[in-house]
Amino acid sequence: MSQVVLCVDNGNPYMEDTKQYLSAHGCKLYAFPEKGEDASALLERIERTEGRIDILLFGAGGRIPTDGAIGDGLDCEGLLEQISGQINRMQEAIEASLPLLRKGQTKCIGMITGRSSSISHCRDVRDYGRHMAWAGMNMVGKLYFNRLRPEGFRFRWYCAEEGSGGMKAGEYLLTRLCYDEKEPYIHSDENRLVMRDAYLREVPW
Amino acid sequence: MKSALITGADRGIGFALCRCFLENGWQVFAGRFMKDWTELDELKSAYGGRLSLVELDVGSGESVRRAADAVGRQAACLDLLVNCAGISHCGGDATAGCLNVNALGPVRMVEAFLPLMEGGEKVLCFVSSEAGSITLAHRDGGVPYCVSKTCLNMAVRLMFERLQPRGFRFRLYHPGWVRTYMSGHKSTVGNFEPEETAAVAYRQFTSRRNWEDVLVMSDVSDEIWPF
Repeated sequence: MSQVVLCVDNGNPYMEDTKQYLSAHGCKLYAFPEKGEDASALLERIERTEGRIDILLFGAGGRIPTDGAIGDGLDCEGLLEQISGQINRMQEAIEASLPLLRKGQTKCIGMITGRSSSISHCRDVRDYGRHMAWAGMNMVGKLYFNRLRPEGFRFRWYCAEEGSGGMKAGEYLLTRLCYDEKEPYIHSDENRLVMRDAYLREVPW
Repeated sequence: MKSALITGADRGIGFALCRCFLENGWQVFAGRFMKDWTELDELKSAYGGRLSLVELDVGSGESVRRAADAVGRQAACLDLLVNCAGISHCGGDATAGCLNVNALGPVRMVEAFLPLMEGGEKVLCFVSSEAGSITLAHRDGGVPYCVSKTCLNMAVRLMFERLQPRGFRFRLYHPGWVRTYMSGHKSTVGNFEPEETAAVAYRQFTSRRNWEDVLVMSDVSDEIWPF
């Protein structure tokens, strides 16, 4: 059975490639409405036609045009709007989709982000809004992981990078990680929220 | 005499930190948000000219700029900045509210005070929280506060990468579970009084490390937390 994917894009440059990959592999794609638009009509349509959502996929946002570096006159009010907008949209999309995700085959929530969303790993000096929004979205993911993993939800956090090697975001989304219900909680990879790059290397938070 | 500015100084950890710095001979600028709260006035009576009260709302760019001007008129430089002001909840858009004070407040402060700090000891301190650690997050809700502290940690990372090579020292501090006023009234539950965690914070903020080129979040027990 083809997977039903609801995409929430914030302008991530790798989202389009991922959608093409998923579409080519039999997934049926829907786009979550833009910020400020009502999602209820779309979700009713998905419920009527598909009866479920299998994957809820987020793309962390791209660079904010007015962003900058400390000491260069950051527009904090503008950044606040951008960061809170992305965080709120992510939360709204998850909450709105949960009833249909619970009926899904894979109950998967995915994120396409970047290595520089990692506070440990990041060595950048500018683009406060983008970095803070990315890190904040990672925390939202962790809080929902804590809440939804006991219901069997799966989470896929993927760091997209330039280059053609390795596993694409779409491939990683559809990949199964080891999980044995009988094994203790800590002995299953599915029971951890981790961020991985194209070569499946873990990127620390 | 060394100088420090402390945000959120009206009460709780910020107030306890003010007292700590004053007891150790510092010139202190106390960021005052609550005009009706009188503890700072009492401290001012005890320490006179070494304590300056500065009206400050870290959630307002205009207020932060006015505070920087006020401090600049009184001191040639600022040695140490403690970003302590924080909220755990607010009305309306709670995510935007928490982000504005907890994450962007410190960004505004550093941005505004950077010129004054260039001539000083260059110590930037941030009171964060375990609630911002993605690795160890155990909650399954409370998005606004947790996200605001994660975003603060990321902002500190970006500042660190730019300013540490220019001689700035960074302290990112998790104060522990403190009986503070974060919920609006003095909490009766928690593991520490504000004075206890402030004493540890003061020691960490004012002592040097051999590894100043590493950004860590350290806590009241001198333990290090993963991001």
